[in-house]
Amino acid sequence: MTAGDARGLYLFAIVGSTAVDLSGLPGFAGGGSPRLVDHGDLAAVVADVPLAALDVREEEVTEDGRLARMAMDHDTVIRAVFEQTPALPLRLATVVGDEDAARRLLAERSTEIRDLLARLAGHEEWGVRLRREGEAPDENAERERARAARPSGRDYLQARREALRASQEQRHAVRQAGDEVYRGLAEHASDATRLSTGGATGLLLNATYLVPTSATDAFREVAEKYAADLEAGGVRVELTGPWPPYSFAQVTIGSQAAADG
Amino acid sequence: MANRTLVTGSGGGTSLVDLLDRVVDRGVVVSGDIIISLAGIDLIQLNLRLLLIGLETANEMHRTNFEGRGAR
Repeated sequence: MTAGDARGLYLFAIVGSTAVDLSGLPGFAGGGSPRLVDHGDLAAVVADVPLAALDVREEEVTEDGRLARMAMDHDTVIRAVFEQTPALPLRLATVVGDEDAARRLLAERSTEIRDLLARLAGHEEWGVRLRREGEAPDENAERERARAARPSGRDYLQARREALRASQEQRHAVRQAGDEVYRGLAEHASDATRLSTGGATGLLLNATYLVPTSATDAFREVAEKYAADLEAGGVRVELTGPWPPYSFAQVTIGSQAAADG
Repeated sequence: MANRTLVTGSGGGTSLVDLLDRVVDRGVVVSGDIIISLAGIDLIQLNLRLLLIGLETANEMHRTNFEGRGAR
């Protein structure tokens, strides 16, 4: 068997219902349409896939490359399922050998899967980022302006001290804004996680929330209020969602025997 | 009320970086002998390495785009 014709079973999501309409949803190139593999009341949303379809190369990682299309198809299927019933999304490119393997997976951790599905029912995920727009004022330019105005030495020092204090206060306020927004929004969520900002410049907060659908309006209103308050300080609030609960379905399932052996 | 937040997600407008951030990094992880192997190489591990490269690349693209917009 070569990589060219090997096939596997791609896993999109795990659901607690066998009544899910998957018609019209995309599979992967050269593979089958999404379908259900059930085990008791649990089911996995799967599609047959040629493994070659998942063999993304580094040069294909572009805005509209194979990885991007794969991610979008993955999300499209999970989203369609999630709109019908609580679902645990699988990580992108999770492939098992066959239906038996998929059933074993459902059987081995069925209690944990059921508990997690119950906990996530009636919730959706929202992402919140706080970003500082533009850069801090250019001190050199400020100094130039001050020099051009030719103030007296004492006036100049006074102005510098004030400018410095103002910028320190602003930096402090901006740092606090991330914490305050994170906490404020968490009050309207069942769960929240603060994620790494990845060292990105100007990214003050990168958080994700598990929000009860009944609290969605309140959550968005609070986000809007923060956005309005922070606008003057050059801080932008970015809201993404609703998402299936990608960030709150973080469990590892699989064969314990393999982990031991 | 004026919409001050930048909302993306459902429908169009989801950025690739937001999407990859979720589908690559999060969700149920499967481990053990049920993961298919290809010529002795764990396919998932192999792909995850590539996917992580993808995530970094997307982040880089996003940062470039963002700074590009900010500089206008």
